[in-house]
Amino acid sequence: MSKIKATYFDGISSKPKAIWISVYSVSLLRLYDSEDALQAFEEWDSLRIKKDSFNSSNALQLSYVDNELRKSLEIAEANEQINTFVKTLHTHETRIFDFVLKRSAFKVIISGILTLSLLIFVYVKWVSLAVGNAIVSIIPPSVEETIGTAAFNQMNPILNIDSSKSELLQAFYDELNFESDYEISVFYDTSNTVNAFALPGGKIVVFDGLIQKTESWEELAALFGHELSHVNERHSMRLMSRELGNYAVFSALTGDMAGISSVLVESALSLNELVYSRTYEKQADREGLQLLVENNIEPAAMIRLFERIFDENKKVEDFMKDLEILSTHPLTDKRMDYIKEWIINTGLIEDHGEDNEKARALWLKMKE
Amino acid sequence: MEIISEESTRQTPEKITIKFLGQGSRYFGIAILNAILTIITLGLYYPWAKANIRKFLWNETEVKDSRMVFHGTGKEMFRGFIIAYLILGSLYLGMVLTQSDPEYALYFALGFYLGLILIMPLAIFGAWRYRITRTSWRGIFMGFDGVFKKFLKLYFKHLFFTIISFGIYAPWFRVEIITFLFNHTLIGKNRLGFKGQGSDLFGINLLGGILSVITLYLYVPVYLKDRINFTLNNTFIDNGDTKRLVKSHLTGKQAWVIMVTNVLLVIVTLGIGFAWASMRYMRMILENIDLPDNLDLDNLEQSEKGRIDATGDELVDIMDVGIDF
Repeated sequence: MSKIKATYFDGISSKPKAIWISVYSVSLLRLYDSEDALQAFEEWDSLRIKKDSFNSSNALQLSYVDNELRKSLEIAEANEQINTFVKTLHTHETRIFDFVLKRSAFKVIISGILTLSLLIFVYVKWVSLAVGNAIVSIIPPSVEETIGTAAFNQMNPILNIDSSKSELLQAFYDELNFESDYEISVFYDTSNTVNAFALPGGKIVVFDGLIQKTESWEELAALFGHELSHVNERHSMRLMSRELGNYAVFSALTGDMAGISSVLVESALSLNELVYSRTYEKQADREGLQLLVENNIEPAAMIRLFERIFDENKKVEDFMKDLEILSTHPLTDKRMDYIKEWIINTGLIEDHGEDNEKARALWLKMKE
Repeated sequence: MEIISEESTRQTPEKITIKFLGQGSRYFGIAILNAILTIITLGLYYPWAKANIRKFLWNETEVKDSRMVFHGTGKEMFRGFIIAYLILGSLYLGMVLTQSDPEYALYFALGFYLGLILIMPLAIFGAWRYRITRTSWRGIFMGFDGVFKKFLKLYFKHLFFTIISFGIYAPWFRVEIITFLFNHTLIGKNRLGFKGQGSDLFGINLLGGILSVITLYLYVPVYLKDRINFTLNNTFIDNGDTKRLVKSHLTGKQAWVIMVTNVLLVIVTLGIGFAWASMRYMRMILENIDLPDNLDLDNLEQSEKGRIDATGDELVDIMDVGIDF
């Protein structure tokens, strides 16, 4: 067996001792005082040898716990025998890092960039969605309601809620008899914005601007169908949970990578979020339509509702058409197309529905 | 003849320098692999990632031809990581969930910030202790014999002064902490020490702050250099008989060139250059250090604690979550 030079430390002092070592068997390392010594002064059992070095050179450091002393070896230039021996040592996850530390720097950089981009892509596209849904499935509706209430209270100062009109709107909503697992409370905001939104747990805010745009009670019902579906499908919770999951993973990442991943990944994430909420909007349209049909309300009201919004947004939308990817909501004319398609495909008659006198009366009162 | 030549080598003191051999490409590779494993494990790999980085940085640091070794493991740090996440996470969640109820929200917010204030000394002490006791060179372990209760007392006393002085006392606070940590740090049987004064650090901060603003932040690297040198040049090693000062000859010009090119490097490469920038920064600091002349590094003796395999599992150890203060 050939011997190679090493430096030995006895664990008591830092005094270096030049020695020679050889691999005796797959499990035994022998330490000699000189190159031609016949008798080894120590034998190290591979089970108790630890590889201490973690660097990109050929320098190798091993240690060995013996009689409460931790002895160590430094090998400046390891030969193949030693390297093979070291590979059989029990190490933790460090072996996969050998590639990174010992292969050509160019390969390391290129493969690193490629693999990381692939992983980020996979994560953003599939994993984060699954994580978000998994978190949602363990959050009870009561927590959702608490979050919704907290959000509502925080927004309250910038909203103009009219309590008596809200009562009318609530009565209107109750008249519709839409099905939901949540206790729904609706609010009437007197500002003239053409908008409405739903908070997790069942709070729906409708703005006066939108109510004035509607020209039949069915259109307002269609709006509620859409917003209620957001609540029922827990859309905002899904988005929040996904953000939370992303935050945990990427904060752990950036702890190491000094901001690089957050910068690169953030843009990828927000682009994806658009598609994500467009999917949600489409789902809410579809389920809203379903609610109308189930309650004998004319499905075409939903088309008319979007026509009104379309009028309002026409100027903006002409500009937006080329930039469709940038808008959160599906463009309304596209929306009307697929809603029409659904109605035809499910064999419904567009204007089939029953009148609801009470609802109509309440709607008229709000329009005054 | 031999005796005379040995005498003469003793008279010209041997310069003990530090070499830092880390390469940007390797550091980049480790960081990427860490990132991949962290993503796959949904963040749980973080402590192991931290351990990998330290093992690499320590092992690429060479003092007198021998490399440093970091013995800490991800497994050890994982406990601290989980506990810190759970405590701060639940307090934060409580704060979010109780937002609708002003009274509870106030309690949770107070709890959150109080928790942070209480965790700080534990984190500083724990992180230092963990790093020191898991560092070895030529088989000699560094040691730490500070007592947490004493540190806590010192911490809150000086925190109090810092608060009532509206932060003016902060440099003295910082010096107190460094002095405590260094005074209880052992290299074999040598003890580290710190003789810096709060007033000097205050002067450095004041000058650095003013000049940084006047020069539109171009002075920042020089200011950072002054802070680095303040720490290093006030550090001494005490072998029981003599106290020998460490010396840093990092110059303002050197610091300025390296830091400015580092920033450019990171910007031009869209962040990827961070690995190379970090290595250049480490090299700049470490290779400018001269350890005291005549420091007998060949005859360091293992302290009692270092004799046994360096794994303590006292509560403070779990607090090293890798947050740097």
